[in-house]
Amino acid sequence: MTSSTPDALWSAPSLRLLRPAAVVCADVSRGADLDRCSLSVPAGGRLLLVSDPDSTASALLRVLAGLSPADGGRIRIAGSSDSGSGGWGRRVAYVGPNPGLRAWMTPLEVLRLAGDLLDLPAAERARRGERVTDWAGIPAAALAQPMSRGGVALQQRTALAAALLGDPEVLLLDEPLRAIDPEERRRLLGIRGRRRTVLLASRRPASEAGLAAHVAYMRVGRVELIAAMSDLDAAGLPLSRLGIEALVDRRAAGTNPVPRRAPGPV
Amino acid sequence: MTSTGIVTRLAVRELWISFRLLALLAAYVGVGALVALLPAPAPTTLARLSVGLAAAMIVGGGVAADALSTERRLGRAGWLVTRSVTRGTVVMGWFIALAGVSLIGLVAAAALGWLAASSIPATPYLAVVGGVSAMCLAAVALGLLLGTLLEPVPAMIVAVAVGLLAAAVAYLLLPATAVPLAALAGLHELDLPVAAGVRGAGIGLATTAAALVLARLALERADL
Repeated sequence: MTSSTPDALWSAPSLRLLRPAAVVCADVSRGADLDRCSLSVPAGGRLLLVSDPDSTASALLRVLAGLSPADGGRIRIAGSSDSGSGGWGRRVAYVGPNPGLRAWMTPLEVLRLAGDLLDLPAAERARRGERVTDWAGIPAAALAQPMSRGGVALQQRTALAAALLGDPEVLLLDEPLRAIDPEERRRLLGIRGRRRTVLLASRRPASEAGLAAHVAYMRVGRVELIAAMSDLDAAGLPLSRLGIEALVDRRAAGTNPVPRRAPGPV
Repeated sequence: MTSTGIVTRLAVRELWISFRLLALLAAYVGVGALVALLPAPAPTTLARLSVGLAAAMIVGGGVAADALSTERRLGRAGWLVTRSVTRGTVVMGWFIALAGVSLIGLVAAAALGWLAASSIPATPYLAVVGGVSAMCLAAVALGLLLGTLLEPVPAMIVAVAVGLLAAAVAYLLLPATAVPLAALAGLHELDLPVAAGVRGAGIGLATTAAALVLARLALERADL
């Protein structure tokens, strides 16, 4: 089952029990990175994606974000298979390792641009802008200065703020905010929202502790494992690539009693 | 404002900040100024104007290739696409921005050229300049096409090389009536300059449309 998840609906207990899927991809292929990859993430889920090679998880998020065209397969996000602005285009946000912003712009200009592209009325844009700049920790003094003066960290904060401006239902985070110190980064990525679905691709899973409830491991372009973080704890394995690979091996050998299951809401 | 308008405005600002806008305007207006400042008989003036405009178009193609390729490479086009801007809109926004700046420069250059060669009747001159304008659009569109396919520096080099090749073919191999730039150089000898201008405009616009369609298709398959 897939569903869009407006707040009013999502607050209904019966709908939450059904756990509608926010992101569904079936048999998605892309070059050498993705090979008939299938994955389903329920609304409100927070999933850490780790892959071998590292580029696979990023490739999946880039396909979901529309940055890389898929060679084949089906994608449904928030109940829609239309990636345009009339479908899930405006309900998904992507933050990648490269902010993709123009360093000569000020954070305010970036937010105004993002608001214009979302067709937000000026008052709503200002209200949301204030909220997201507070969350992203952009200093008031830096708001009206070119981002080139604030370095990459300011650009990454601005990119996150612009992504959150549309209050996206699905947030795709591909190695985000690496220029920001780990504690602050953890705060920023602990993005609230019961209905918000977060997919976080990481090459350093140990640094993502506490940010996701489940982990998916991808190998040879496919998802090999989806497990709760607690499964790693129960197996006495660390949240690291080696730990996740060991859990995959144990599952394959049938030596781990924890059943395979889809990730649920946090 | 539509998303095409937003991308166009952003592209113009990017061209301004990166000095590409000034380079493009200087290329066209510089040709007009040079022609106006160097007194010569009308045929010589028109020949100089024609060659100068060809050079400016080659610059325009190179600038277009570099600009769009840089947008792709730095993830700026991707940032727009993740905000529901279609890839076709990205191409069209950049085309409008680059074509607008180029046409402003070309009109200024053509006006200066006409003043310098004051014995030329206005109607045939305008018809041929119309054809040249369409070629200018085609140069920008072809530059954008290369920008969707190649990295910035190779895109710019190939755009300049293709422009030089096209100019050589246009001046040396094709009849003057088939190419507006050659028609401009030989305007005083043409029997039907208006027909040559209209024909050239048609060829230029068709080339522009084909290049834009191909650029859009190429960008649809590109990793942003």
